[in-house]
Amino acid sequence: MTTTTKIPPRHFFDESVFAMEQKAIFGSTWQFFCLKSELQNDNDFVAESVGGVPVVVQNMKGTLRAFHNVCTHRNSPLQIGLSGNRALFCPYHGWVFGQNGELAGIPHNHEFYPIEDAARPKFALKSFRVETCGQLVFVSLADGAGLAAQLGQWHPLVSAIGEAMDDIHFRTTLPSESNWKFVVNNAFDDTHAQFVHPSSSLDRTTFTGGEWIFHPHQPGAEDLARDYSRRHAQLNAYMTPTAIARNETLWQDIVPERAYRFDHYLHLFLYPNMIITSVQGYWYNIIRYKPLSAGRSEMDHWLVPGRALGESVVMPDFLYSAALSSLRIFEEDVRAVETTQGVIRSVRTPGVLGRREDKIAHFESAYMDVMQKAGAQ
Amino acid sequence: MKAGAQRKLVVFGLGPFADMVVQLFQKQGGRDVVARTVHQAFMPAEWAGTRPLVPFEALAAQFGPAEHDVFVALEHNRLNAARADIVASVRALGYGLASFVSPTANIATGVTFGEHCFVMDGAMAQYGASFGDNCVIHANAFFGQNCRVGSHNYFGPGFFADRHAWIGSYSVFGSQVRVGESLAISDWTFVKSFLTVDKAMPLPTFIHTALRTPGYIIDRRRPRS
Repeated sequence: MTTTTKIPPRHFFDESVFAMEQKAIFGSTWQFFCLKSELQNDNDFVAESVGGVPVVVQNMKGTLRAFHNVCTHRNSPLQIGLSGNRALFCPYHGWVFGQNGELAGIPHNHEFYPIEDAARPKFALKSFRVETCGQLVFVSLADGAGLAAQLGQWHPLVSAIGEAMDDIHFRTTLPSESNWKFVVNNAFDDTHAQFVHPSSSLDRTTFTGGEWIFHPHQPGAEDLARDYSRRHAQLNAYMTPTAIARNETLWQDIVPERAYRFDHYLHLFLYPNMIITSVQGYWYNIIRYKPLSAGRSEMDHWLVPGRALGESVVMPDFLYSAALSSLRIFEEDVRAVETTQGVIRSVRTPGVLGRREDKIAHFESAYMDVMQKAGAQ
Repeated sequence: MKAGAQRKLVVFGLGPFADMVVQLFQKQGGRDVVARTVHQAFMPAEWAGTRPLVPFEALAAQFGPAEHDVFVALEHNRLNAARADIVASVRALGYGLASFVSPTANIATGVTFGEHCFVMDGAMAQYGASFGDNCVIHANAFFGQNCRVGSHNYFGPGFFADRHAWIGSYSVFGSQVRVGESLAISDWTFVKSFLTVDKAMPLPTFIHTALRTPGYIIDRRRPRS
């Protein structure tokens, strides 16, 4: 049984579609932002863009706050660089912002400006919502449902995973000359592995089979605020006893007793652009697909060991080795979708999705539902 | 370097690097390599070497610490830390730790090495350079004036560190990696062969040709009470 692809080709290269996505999708959903361990101390910050909007999440005396990372004086970024530890003040003219984004200080105010106290509230930073799920920090630019509502039935699982992550991690970004949706579709696609990853595809000596848990999309019937959880999808790939025993041997000195354990390979897609994978809770790959333009995206990657019940003994060289193994596969994926990006402008007819590609049809339908409501064709 | 050049030597390890270490100690270092050792779990079913191979767990009974030094001949990647762990075990058993500096290495006056270092042919360290313990330095590596190098590192052939570079510990630099003048490089850095490091690396950084951009380690662990 086959169906056609749901997303028109121009959605993969048209900059006006990209601009619409930034608002209708990335500006309207909870977006995974960073790990909480990066924000442990007062004034720790992480600066990223969400839906094209520069955002800084900063530890403000023990509370995580999210702000527009642009000074209200002359539009300079407040925090520069991906992360660091620095009070929230503008590097350009020194304006200082407080706990709630209020304008707390202006160097040489009386001589240079002056700005009266009564006028200060209008110079407060725009703040955004920030929520955590264990180690996982999410930001939303929009009002509306909370993070738990967006995660829906997967909220307990994401919470358990988020609580089970160590305070050390490997972090990198893979740039891709492709539209973000190609990379997402690839993540739903378990039929490409034997061709794109011939030396690393799932084999029968390790896995006995898999089970996808997801809700087929019902166009038009969805209330996005309530039904977000119907857009997520989970794959459990079940492992042979031999493979489980082999992993126990490999990991017993590194994460001997982990906080959260299961006996399968987990692949969890959280709409619209986040994936968490794990083998038995020993380690977690977190992947965030971030569009930069219609034809460019980034694949942000965190590799986090499972939290050991005792003292963590994970060393960086082990994370390098584990990350290299994952990133070689990601690199193969990125190369594959970049070739598709290279020819998409010539495509005039829809593609075909087979029975095993129903998750892609599900994602594409859900995507088009939002985009059509936003006015896209 | 540790004294004791006349003591007999046991080499830990079975790989090609260990084979080379045996030959260099024997033929250029004036040491009598009397045995090889490796952990019991890695003992091969058959051993065709010319020297006895003894499980490390049983080494003290046959080649005791009173008469022997040991060199742990594990090379790079994840083996810097493994080498450090085994060196600690060797020291705890009371063995002396051997070091080797090739007679063709060009080591300036005032250069200092910690214990258990291995410096190969043509390597050069200029005035004021210093090295911690347990560093493997391959042929023709160059360390400029006042370079400071930590412990448990691996430097591939032709590695180049310009003067005043500061290199932490537990790091791997592949063949012909170049590190710029006065740069500080964090512990646990990994740089694949033939790459140039032209800015400081305050975080443990992983640079590999399989990755399009560097990766790095964020370690915010605190001791648990």
